[in-house]
Amino acid sequence: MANLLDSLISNTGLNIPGREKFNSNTYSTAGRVKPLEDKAKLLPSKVIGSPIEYVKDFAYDIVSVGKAAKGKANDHELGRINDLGMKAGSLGIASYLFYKNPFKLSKTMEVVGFGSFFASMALWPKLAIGLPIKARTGVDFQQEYIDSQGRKKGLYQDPQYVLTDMLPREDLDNIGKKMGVSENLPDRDSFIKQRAHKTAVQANTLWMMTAGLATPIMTALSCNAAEKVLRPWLQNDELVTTQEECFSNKVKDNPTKKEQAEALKKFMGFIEHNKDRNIDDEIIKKLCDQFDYMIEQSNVPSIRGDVKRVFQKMSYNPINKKLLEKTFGKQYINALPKNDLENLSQYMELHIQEPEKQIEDISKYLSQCDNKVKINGQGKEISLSELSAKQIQEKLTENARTRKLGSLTTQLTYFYESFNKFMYKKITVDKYVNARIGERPDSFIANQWNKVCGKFVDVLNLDNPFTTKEVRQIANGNKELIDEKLNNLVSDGKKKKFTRTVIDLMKKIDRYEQITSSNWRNSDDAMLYNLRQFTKKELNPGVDKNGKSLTPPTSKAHEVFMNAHSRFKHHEYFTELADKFMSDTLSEYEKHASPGTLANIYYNSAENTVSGARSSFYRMILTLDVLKQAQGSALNDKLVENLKEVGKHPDEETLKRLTQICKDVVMKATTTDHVEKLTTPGFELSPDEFKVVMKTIFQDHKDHVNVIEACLNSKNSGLSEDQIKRMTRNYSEYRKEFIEEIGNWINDKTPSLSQYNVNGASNGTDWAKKNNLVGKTVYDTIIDISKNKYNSKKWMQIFGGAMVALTGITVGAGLMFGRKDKIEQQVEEESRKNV
Amino acid sequence: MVYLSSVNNQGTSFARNMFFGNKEKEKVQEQEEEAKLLYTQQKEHPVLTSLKIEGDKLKNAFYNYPKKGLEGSKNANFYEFLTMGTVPYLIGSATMMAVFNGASRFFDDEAAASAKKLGKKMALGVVFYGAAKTLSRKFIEEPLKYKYGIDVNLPYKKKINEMPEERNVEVLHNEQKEDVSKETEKDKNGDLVAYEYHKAFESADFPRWDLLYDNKDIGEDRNAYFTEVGKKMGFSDKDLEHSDQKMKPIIKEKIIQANAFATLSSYLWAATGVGIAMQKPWEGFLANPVQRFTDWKNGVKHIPFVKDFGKNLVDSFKEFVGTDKNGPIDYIVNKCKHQTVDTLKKPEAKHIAGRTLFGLALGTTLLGNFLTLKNVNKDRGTSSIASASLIDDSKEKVVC
Repeated sequence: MANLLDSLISNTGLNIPGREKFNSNTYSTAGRVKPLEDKAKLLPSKVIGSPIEYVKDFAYDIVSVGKAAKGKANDHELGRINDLGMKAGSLGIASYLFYKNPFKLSKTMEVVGFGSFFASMALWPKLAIGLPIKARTGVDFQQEYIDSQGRKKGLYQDPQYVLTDMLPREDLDNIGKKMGVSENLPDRDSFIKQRAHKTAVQANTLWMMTAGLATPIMTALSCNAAEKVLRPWLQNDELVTTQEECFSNKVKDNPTKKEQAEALKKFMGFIEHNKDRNIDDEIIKKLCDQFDYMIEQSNVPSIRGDVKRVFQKMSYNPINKKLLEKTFGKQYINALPKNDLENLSQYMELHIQEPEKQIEDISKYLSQCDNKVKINGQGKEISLSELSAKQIQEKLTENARTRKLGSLTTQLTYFYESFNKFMYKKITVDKYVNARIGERPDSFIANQWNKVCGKFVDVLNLDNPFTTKEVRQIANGNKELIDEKLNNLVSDGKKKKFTRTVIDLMKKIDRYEQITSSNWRNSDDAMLYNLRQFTKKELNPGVDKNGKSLTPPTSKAHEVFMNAHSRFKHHEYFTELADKFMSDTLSEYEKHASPGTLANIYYNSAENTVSGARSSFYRMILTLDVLKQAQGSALNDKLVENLKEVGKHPDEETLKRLTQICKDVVMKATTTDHVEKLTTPGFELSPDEFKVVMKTIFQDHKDHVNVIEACLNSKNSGLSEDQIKRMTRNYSEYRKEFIEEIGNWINDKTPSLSQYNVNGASNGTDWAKKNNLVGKTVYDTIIDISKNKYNSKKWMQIFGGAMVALTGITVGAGLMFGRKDKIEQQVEEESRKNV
Repeated sequence: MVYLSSVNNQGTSFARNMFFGNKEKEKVQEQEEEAKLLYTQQKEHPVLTSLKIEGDKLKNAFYNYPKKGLEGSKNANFYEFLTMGTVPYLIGSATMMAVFNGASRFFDDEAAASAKKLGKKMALGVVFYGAAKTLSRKFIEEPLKYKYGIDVNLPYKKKINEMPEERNVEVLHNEQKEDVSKETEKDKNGDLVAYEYHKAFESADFPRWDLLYDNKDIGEDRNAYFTEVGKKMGFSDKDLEHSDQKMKPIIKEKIIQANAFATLSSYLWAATGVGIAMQKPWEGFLANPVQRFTDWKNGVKHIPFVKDFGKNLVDSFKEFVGTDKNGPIDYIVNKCKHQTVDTLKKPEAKHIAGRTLFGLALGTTLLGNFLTLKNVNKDRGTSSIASASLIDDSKEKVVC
């Protein structure tokens, strides 16, 4: 080497600085000039890398960014920055959506989505392409190495710079063996390397061709699977957290006292800044904006309207004679006839809480009264009666609304504090109620609903699993198919299946009963009970030392506003606000709910949702009960007896018609049908027949054993005696309640639907209860659940199918790689001949 | 390997040492076109040129390169592999849209409506991701181009001499070659060629300086490009005596900074785009052009697409960063106007997240701008970097 170098340098004939050093006569390079040490090494192939490696890579990426900022990065580092950017961007999306989504499940799913996207991106080439190809040919097309500069690269990344020389002997032998390369082939290693190279080019291309389809579908499928696992766990976590926030002191105030103080300081700053301004519409809007933060969180935007009305009222000076004098001139007002003045003062006393109304009335009076008083108007003296009521009203309003914001500092501050205090409480309860009965796919009630109803639809499956077409037909409202499936279930041949279905459903309903029961006080899950306790404590009346409700009832929040009222006389708006937000008392609510109060809204919606679901569940059981009875003679016997009772002859035609109606009532009668006492199309019952049908469906027959009870009592039910007793009692109570509330109106006047109010308006509580008892029709329940099932099934069919097909094609294609082509076969044949 | 070189060596073109065919004279002409800088085209028609290049790459990415790659062609190279990267990107985007929209046509109206609502946002998210990622690079690249004349995307067309794909079994016996790669182009010498579009500065380690020397499209002077950039950077004529030596390290530095920060920021802008697409205003936006056309034909009027899109974009952005009411923008505007100052609305967590994302995107862009546009004062007043170093310009030297 030294001689070669020396001769090369000599041949140039140049005067090179330091040239003499290389003169072999004076300086020997023997053993001193060496190639750089080869530090490159292959990395072991792994499906999942070690965490330390990820940390190292991340550190390398960060250093790369630093170098790039100085303009010193190399190509490899710039490439890593691209990967880092992609991860940072995706993490940005996931974090944003995490904070945007209100619910824990959807929040978590964003993180899962982020993770599974990158996992899919990394795993697809490894699993669907790498593994089969490695198994078939021994080539790991994603093999990595670290070069002498410490840069991690793919061995086969650049087809024109493949370092197959790095492959150890055993790998080469393995590839040769798997590819079936003849042992006697001259220059065998080169041949193997060439084929490994070719295989890797093919694999890389296949990866690029398939990753676009595979990554999003794989991500979606894995998110789907993950959601099923996470849902129950996260739901429970949310219930526990919200419950703790509501009912224990474990969770600190939200927002903290410091934050509250800061908010108040800001609000006072706003008043101070605008203290000399009239409380006009612009200021009112801005005042309302100060409350928006709380209102937005409360999810009841209409509260903004209530707050606005309070400020509007606050903006008026007292409507009195002084105002008239100020507006029209003292001497002119005093010149009004005594009679008019007296009438006006009466108007000033009326509607004291509504200054707008007062002004309107006074203006109307002034424009109508026949007076000759001349006032200053439009630069000349005119009669008051020449002005229209509207003109007078405008003038008065203008003068009345001259109150300065600064004059109400104390009141406004107190109001702000009280309002926030109340709203914080409300938001806490909202969260809890939302997790329990919120209209969202992952609320507690939604899950319970899906558990029970889903099971009901599943058992209709019977021996022949539903085809997607059948589910689609049911989802589209094919009721004949539902009838067929249900009749099949109650047929004699399916006795075991029927019994099992009843037991399974009853178990689920029983669990639901316990969780939602107000009496189940020992459990953390007792929603209604907890809600009641909370509102009793925070929103509703105080109790005296003996635990008796205070009379007149005052809640804590009510108290706050009433205090404001007594402190700031003539500001009636506080009273109104108190009335608007607070319920009277809990016990009062239970007797006659007054609509619109927050506590009542909570109760009504909670109770309606809980009891509505409960009735829908029992209605399914009732349907199975009635259909089973119709299958045998029980229903017929009952009809005969009940018809006789009302003095009707049970002829065959009537019996046949009424049997069908009994089935239809349980399956499809809506609240309207029941309100109209089944006189609606499809039923068209006479009052007597109505009574017969109701009794037949809902009352027990002395000669027949209750179908449901018989199922529960069957040997293999696995139910304890207590459970059976409780389940039977609940079912029987439901039917009893139904006939008392709905089926017993023979002599009632048919009420109209307009009286019906689920939120508990006057006369509405009964109606809400009646509606809840009817529940959802069985047809609708089955159709709705089928729709969901169909949608997820269809989605799974499309994308799961696509994934299977894609994986099949990819694996198949991968297995084709590395096969000897004709030239390679020829080379081998030639070599054999030569041997 | 030691060979003589001058300081101003243009670099060694590999193709110059490769000869195919028999007509040597013609070969020399072809060699000159081994890589052709598209300087004029890029300067005069930047959009058209980039569309033409991207179109060509797209066609190859979906057709020629997969075919070569799946056959395991010996001509397959890293450029082709990288170009094929467009395929998963585009197909992935379409699949992402399909995952959220594809099945909804089988659903009943109600379920389809709610699926479509989310699907529309997801589809918009995919579009915004791509658009924001592509366009945002310009925030860094364009100012650099405008101020210093350094075009990060300066393209050149490269001719690749390919090897024949011999697959005839007879080849070993009869030495008859059958060229099975019929689709491969041939140049006038009859050699197999392929054309690639590269960027002169795509490699930080090996920028194609050679293409910038002695290029008549740029100027008469041999160092025209470097002198032009140097002047834009404020160097004097004396400074630019050996403008290439002076400017090459500086240009390289700028290119690295621009590439790194354009890349980093583009992903953050893309994420911001997705965030904006997820906002409520889009729910009422009619994105489907076919539906628009059908409605227009049936006399159903909609707000014009551009206006509707613009309004939704602004509203969505406001919702994204929480400046729709009493937000920081109103606050600052009012404060500047000395108007009544409202209390600053307390942002929700999602607004803080939105602002952070937007801030990061903007921040990396501004940092990129700062770094790439900052004044270069290095060695000002010296005749060249070479003279400042230990190496004497006037003498020939040996480079290893």
